[in-house]
Amino acid sequence: MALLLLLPSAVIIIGFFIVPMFGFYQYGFYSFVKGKIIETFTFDTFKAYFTDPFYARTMVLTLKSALYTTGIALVVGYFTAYAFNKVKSPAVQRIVSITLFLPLVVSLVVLSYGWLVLLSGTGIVNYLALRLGLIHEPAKMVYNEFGVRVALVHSLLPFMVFPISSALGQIKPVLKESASDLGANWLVTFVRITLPLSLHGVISGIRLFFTLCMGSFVVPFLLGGGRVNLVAGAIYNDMIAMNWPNAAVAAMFLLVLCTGLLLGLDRLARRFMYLEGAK
Amino acid sequence: MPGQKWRTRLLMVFLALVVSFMAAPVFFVVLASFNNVAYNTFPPRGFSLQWYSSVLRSPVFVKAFYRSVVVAGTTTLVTMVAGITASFALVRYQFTGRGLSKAVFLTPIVTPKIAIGLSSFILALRLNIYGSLTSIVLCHSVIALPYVISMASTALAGLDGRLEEAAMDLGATSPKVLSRVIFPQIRVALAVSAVFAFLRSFEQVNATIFLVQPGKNTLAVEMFLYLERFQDPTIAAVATILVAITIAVVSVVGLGTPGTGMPGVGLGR
Repeated sequence: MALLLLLPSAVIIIGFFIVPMFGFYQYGFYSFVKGKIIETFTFDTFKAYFTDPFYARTMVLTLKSALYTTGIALVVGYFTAYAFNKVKSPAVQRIVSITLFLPLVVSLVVLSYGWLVLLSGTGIVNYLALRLGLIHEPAKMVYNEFGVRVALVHSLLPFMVFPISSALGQIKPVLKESASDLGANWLVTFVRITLPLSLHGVISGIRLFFTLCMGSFVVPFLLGGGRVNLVAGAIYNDMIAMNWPNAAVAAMFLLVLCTGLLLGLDRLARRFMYLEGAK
Repeated sequence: MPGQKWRTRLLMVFLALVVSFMAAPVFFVVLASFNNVAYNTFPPRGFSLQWYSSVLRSPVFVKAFYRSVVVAGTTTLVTMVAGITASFALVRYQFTGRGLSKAVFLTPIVTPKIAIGLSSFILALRLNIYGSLTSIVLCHSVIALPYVISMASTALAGLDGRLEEAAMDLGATSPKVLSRVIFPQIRVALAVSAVFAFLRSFEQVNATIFLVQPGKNTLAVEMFLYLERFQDPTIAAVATILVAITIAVVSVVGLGTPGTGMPGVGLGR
């Protein structure tokens, strides 16, 4: 019975996700010579990919960008979740959660356009900064890494906030009360009780945010305006140039990096499992 | 403690800042759509509805909109059927490989969308359905299914089993338990997952871009390609119409209501 119920999902995931994935990666073992794909097994594409300084740069920039934005999102996301869980009024709670939900319900294209409008030379941010005398000429905030990072943090923040918020919500208030009864001040309570008990939420948040960031394409493409070359964008350009072997190698490398990080974080998460008993 | 009040106030100020940050791009897109000049500038020069009339007169956007609705609607149907049945199996049955199958079902969330798109592209070529709406629906089903499974199984796991037992004791048959006891309790969560699945599909670009043929784009892809070339407020008008529809649907269904399943929760373990 259980197997029958699982069947539709299994067909979708295995038939249209896992199997085709291998069908695509297979091209990584072919080569691309003079605009044609040569379908004989070879490691040439791998060798060429890993020795090409352009692709090395895209990889380094993607990793740097993902680490940087994950760091910012972690700090902002944690305090947002913390503050959100302190809100008592249901009306405010609803407004806050709908706003935090926005990037999940509004198209990434719309959000990217919004950031282009906000951060452009004639946009509101520059307008205000000029009027307030903070700067004397419009600052360049789009078509560079800055714009890409702002929009990435914005579009993926919910994936950081919701797991942390849920972990914080599961902590029994009695634990915090007893800590303060025993004379711990708010900082000690936070560091010794709240933070450790929410770490598994933090780890899920990092997992989701980081991997989504590594694979993001629309936001860096539009905000970077062709000047910020990340792996996903390079894959897109390879595909357009019909260079499937290169795209397959890049996609494989991206997947290996993400999976490696996920497994590492899983091990880390297991170390915090002993705290589960306290919930 | 006097410090307590001050800290809470500081947290609320921070929360207000984050909320403004999250709302800002959408707010200014709406504002830009009423601007009467063809470039983005703040403050707006004057009020105009010209971009709306140009959108509604453009067959490209209107056709793409209908195409997207068909794709997203079909995707929602497919993922709801597959997702609900799978959630039942995962929550209500014990079998070997249960943890593994759940983990496998959820992997598309953390797989780069671009890789999913490329695989679907190769699959479409091999099945000779490249450029068809079917190929897009298949790809979007892979992307939306994990969210449905995650939200529906959270809702199912939270049910009180005693109600079902009571119904059975009173002579209810299994289908009756399903329709009269289980379904009413998870109705809201299911509506939320359906809306979420629809929107995942409707706004998908990262993967869809490899599946569409020129002249047969979905709305999100059409907007992406438009934005790559032009940046006049036409795109803001399209976006505003979409945001208005989305917000209307979301507030009816109550997405984001505390207590309904939130995406991403429970995926980490």
